[in-house]
Amino acid sequence: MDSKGILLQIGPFTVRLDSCIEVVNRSVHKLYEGYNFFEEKPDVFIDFYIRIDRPNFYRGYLRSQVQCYVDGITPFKPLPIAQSYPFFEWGLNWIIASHVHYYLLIHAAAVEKNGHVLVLCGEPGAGKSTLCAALASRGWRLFSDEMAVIDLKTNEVIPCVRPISLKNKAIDLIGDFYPGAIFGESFKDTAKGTLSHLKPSKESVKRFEERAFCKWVVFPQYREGSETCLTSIEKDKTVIELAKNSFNYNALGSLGFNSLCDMVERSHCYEFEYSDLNEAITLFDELAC
Amino acid sequence: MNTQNPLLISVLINPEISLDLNLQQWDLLIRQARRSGVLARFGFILEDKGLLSSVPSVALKHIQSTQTYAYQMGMSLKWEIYCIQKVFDTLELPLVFLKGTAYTVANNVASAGRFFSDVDILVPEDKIVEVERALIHGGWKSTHLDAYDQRFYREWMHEIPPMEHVKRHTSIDVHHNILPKTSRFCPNPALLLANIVKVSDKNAWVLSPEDRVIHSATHLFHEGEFDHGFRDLSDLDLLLKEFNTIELFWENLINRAGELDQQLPLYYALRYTSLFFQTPVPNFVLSVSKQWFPNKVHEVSMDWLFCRALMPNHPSCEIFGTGFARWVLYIRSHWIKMPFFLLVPHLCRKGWLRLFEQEEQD
Amino acid sequence: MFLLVSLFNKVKLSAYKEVDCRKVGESYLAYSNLNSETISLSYFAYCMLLSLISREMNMSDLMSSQAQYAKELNSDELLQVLEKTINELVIHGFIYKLPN
Repeated sequence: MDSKGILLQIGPFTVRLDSCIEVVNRSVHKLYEGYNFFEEKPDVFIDFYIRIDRPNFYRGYLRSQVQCYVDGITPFKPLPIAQSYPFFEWGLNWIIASHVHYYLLIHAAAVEKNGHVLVLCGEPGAGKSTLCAALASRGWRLFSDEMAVIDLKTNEVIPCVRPISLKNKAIDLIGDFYPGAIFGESFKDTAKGTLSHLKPSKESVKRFEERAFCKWVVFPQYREGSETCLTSIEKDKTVIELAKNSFNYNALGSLGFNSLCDMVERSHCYEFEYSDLNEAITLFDELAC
Repeated sequence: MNTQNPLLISVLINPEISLDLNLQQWDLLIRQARRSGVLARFGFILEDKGLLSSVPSVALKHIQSTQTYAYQMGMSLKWEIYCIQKVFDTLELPLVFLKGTAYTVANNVASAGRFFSDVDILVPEDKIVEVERALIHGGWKSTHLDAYDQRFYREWMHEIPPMEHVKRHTSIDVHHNILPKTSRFCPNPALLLANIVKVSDKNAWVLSPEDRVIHSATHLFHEGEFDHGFRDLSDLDLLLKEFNTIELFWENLINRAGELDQQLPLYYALRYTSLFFQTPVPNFVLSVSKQWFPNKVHEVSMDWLFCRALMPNHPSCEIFGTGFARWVLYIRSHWIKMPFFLLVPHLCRKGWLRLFEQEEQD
Repeated sequence: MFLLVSLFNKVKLSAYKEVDCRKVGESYLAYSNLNSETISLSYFAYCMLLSLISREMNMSDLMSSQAQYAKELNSDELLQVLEKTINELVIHGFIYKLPN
């Protein structure tokens, strides 16, 4: 089986992806257009190796499944072949969350305007990816839709720009909201419903090395019919909530604790309820002025 | 070992090689070390030799990342030890730690950068019930509640079923011996307990240095699964290098192996640490241990098997026959731990249950 | 009251050395490297933990040093608050008791 390796820079990480599954290669080339791709050479160090392939004849062909291998082994159960491309994105999330203990990683979206970062942290279903996509389409620079990466030494937020993963109704919502949106293919019947990925803007891809400090930590909650409402919350609650939403806080010890405290110290912290995307954007634009 | 050594082994034997590696080689080295569970340890070895500052930053961050994680695991282990010591305050028993936990409380070189999954302790068999009761009172509960598993552990094995703490979800293995009762060469645990060493002003004891080496050897060379085989062999290498400075250590080691009936595992340990890591085992020790294994044909076959199974568990380190070797040693490990009339039904049951797990996953 | 305090002085209190605490904005937090617990603290508890991080103390000394942070309380009330705070910090693995 011939495997075409793709080597690219994704945020601060170099990744090698091997796959014989056409949709994976096709999706990566479309959604990661404009990223630094390179060749394997003696002066190249790759952080992560991912392979998406049929596991064996029985599962691969008779049961139409794929597996995601991280440097040759897999911690995952196989998935239907129709979910090959999302499997790459999930695999990459997993490998970063398990191996990267030189940054603090928070399960949150991050966008930047005027040199300041807004971190959006919430449970799945709270609407943070939708809000992130909307902000990114209205002049905010995308850092990440799922993983805020914090430098432990400087406390800066580091961009890790990747396609924004949207589910179900959010796909159409953002499609209507943002006429210039370029989506990858739709993947139905995943554990999260229908999934599609929004291609990040050229600007956010080009400026992937420009870091910035956090200025706002917001816990959004989409609630149908609700008023747009921003409420201050105490910093101690913010630290504890962010710690709960961190992938590697427990692995970092005091480093993680102090990093999180420093970030919250410098930020305004809020809970945010909304139902109207336009009103939400207006509010955050005013905050950023 | 003079066949093409994996890069990881060459660099562990001679860390100065790392100064001449290009980034692609560092990439491979990091992956081999990470998969084998020795990446953090490798970082400490480089630091010890004054070579850490020469590591390229793209590779160094992976080493430091793992060291951060290993350090934090060490902290969690410290807390776990405090909690177990509190339980033992209510008993009048020395708290004897085994394996990785022992290396930590004894501050052995082998503890630096090591990952821990559970705590292993050794208690006299007649105190097992009392210890189990105290642990339950302290918040642990037994796992493996299936009647077969309970019987398997309590009648045949050298430990009770693993216990898990209800809040912390940490695991403790309470042993009354270092090998199952059903093993062909089961040591007398009273001999081990008679030689324990106190390592702190609190209740923390470990086996004597010779016994720590013998236990590590026994564990590795009775083992059926080799995911951590290379790491465990590296533990042995570090223990031997550390204890080398103790007066009469080698003589005591040889004698002790005889007293505990563990000459064969020790022979393997000395042979394979020398082959893999060039561990400086004195010649007289190697000569004596060779006498425990006079059959040349058997020696060649075991070399073939172990030189494959003990390799770092990374695809780049696999050679022809690695999978087969691991499978043969898996069967062997059950064979030497259980008599035939117990082994066959046990393996059948294990295979049957694995099949069910597979179908559930599907 | 004197008898109670003298009984208490059979015990000293100390913070584990793996504990960190700090102010964040107007709030106070503590973190234990041992069990990865992060907790929110009152100002009273924060000052107490800081004292115990710097040195071991018996109950009388602790009561004297903490009194300034709870001037509105009488001795009995102070003792109650102190005991409650101590219990919380012991349960969460930030401080421990040792014989005097």
